[in-house]
Amino acid sequence: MKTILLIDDEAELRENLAEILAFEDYQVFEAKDGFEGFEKAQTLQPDLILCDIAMPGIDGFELLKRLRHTASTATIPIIMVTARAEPSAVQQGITLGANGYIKKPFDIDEALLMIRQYLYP
Amino acid sequence: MSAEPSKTEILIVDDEPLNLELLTIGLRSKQYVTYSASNGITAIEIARQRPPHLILLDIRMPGMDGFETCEILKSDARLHDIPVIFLSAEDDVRHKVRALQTGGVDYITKPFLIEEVTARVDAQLRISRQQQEIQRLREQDQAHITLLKAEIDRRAVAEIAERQQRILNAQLYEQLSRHSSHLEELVNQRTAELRQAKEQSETILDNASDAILLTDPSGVVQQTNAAFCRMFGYSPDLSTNPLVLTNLFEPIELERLKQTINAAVLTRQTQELELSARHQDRRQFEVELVLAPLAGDNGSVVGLVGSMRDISQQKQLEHRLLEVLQREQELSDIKTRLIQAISHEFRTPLTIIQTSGEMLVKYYSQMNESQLQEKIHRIEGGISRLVALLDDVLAMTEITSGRTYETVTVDLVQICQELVQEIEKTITAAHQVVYIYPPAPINITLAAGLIRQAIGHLLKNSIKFSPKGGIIQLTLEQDNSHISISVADQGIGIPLAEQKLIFDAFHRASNVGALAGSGIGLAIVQKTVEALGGTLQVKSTEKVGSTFTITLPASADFPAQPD
Repeated sequence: MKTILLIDDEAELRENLAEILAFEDYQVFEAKDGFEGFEKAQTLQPDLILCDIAMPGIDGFELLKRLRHTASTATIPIIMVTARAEPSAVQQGITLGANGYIKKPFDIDEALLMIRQYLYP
Repeated sequence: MSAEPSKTEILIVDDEPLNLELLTIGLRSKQYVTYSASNGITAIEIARQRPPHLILLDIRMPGMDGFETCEILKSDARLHDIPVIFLSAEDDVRHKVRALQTGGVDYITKPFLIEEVTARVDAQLRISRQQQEIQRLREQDQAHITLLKAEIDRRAVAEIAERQQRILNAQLYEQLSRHSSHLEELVNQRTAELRQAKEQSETILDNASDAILLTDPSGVVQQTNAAFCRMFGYSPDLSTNPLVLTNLFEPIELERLKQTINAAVLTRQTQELELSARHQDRRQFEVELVLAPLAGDNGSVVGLVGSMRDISQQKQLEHRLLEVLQREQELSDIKTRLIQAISHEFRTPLTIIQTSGEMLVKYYSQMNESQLQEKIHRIEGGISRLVALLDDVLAMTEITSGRTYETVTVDLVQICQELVQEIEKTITAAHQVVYIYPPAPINITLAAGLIRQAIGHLLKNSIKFSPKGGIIQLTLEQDNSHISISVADQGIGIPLAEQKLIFDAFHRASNVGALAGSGIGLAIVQKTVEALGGTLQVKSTEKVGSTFTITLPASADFPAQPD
């Protein structure tokens, strides 16, 4: 069973996503901010990370940078899930080493498609 | 030419040696110096080498006779005047005539008595001497006459010259006086022109709107115009109080002005700069100074012409224009940030609504009753958030649009009372609102809707950020100059580091946790209070509570205009 770490400060949204992923037979870990996300990524070594950008404390970009600069998390696929839809933000995420980018609001099937791409095989 | 008898020399020419001896002895006895020749040719040679004073010449001689010899002697210019006395045995008249015709002065017939010869020689020498004397005197006279003539000529020439000089002098004098009067006329004309030019220049200078002054190369003022007096408020008496250009300006401008003066003198180029000048009444005003070097005959800079224009009004306009532009830019920035933030803030509730809705369809059969209920609640909650957000955005847009609001006179005590009653309808027992207000009404003329909105927002916020309940205290106070309205809660407070950011639109403190909100509320309150001419301040301690205070000026009538 593939494991996914979900990092988002918006509780309702995070819970919805966690439920969806559970229905799709993934094991889901949740983190409510960047600090918790960074810790859990290192200790749980998930197969994929879904990460929000606008979060209090460490924001998504900063977290991305730290994960990529930490040996144990450097190669974990990371998909940014964010309301920051402007092209410059997308570009910044790609530059910092994000693998994919899902814009809020999103269609569940499309999001699942992208998640599966990075978990295959 | 008078000859002493001792030195008187006589040449005796005779071919008869006896005659020669006789004559030599006779003449020497008379103290004459004699020498002799025996023929004509020798006689001519000797006479040429040593011209004698007298020649005794025998006529009948072998070879060249006496006549021929005499003719040759007479033909010689040097010997021409030497008296010749012929000696001859012939007492023939024809001989005597011929002898005199060839130039002889006397004729002595042989045989002769030596006394006769010496007597005739003496006589002839005397005659010769007298003739020479006459000749000398004549020559002397001639020389004298020549000198006199020369003197006469000189004097005549001198007189003519003098006369001509006088004529010339007279002509020159006339010409000079003509020139002189012409020159005088020219000078007068030029002076008149110069005076006119000067008057014109001064008229122009004094009627110029720019203050104009003339300085020496070091900046000492030498002349000013009327506009200068109008601009600076005084007319400097330069003869008694020397004025330096730099003294006209604020001390802070000194260095810049000195550099500009140097640049004008060194480069001989006109310089321009803007400066703060100082009026006599100490008032500061802005001028534009144009400094042009004045070149002298040898090309060096002999002075500077400064022309100043008061650009205070222009500067003020520029400043105001800049302010307006800056304000415009700020508004534009705010709008850009607002649109970005709105876009972001809308996406979160939209995502919750969309995922909840899709889950209801996609996983309906896998969800239990409470899970289904939860999704429906989330859809409803998301929609409420969107509506609240729309209200806030509209309020924010209105408050930042720069429109003016109608003002009415209201009693703040009454307004706060109404707001407290409204909020009490929405709260549970966990919260308690305490209202502290002064005994007398506080009447104030303002945009009542705005102050109601601002206080209402603060009250709602204080309830929201006190999730565990507690006392909300609304305090209304007035002193001489200010009215203050404060709302204090016992809620979660705001981290110290973020207290500066909470008035930025869409900033939400890091400790809000699950408390829903757009982050726009406090920004609206602040803009509203600014529109009312007041200020909004916050004091807060995390986990203890926050106090927001609106301070308004107490003067009753003020326009409710943003800014």
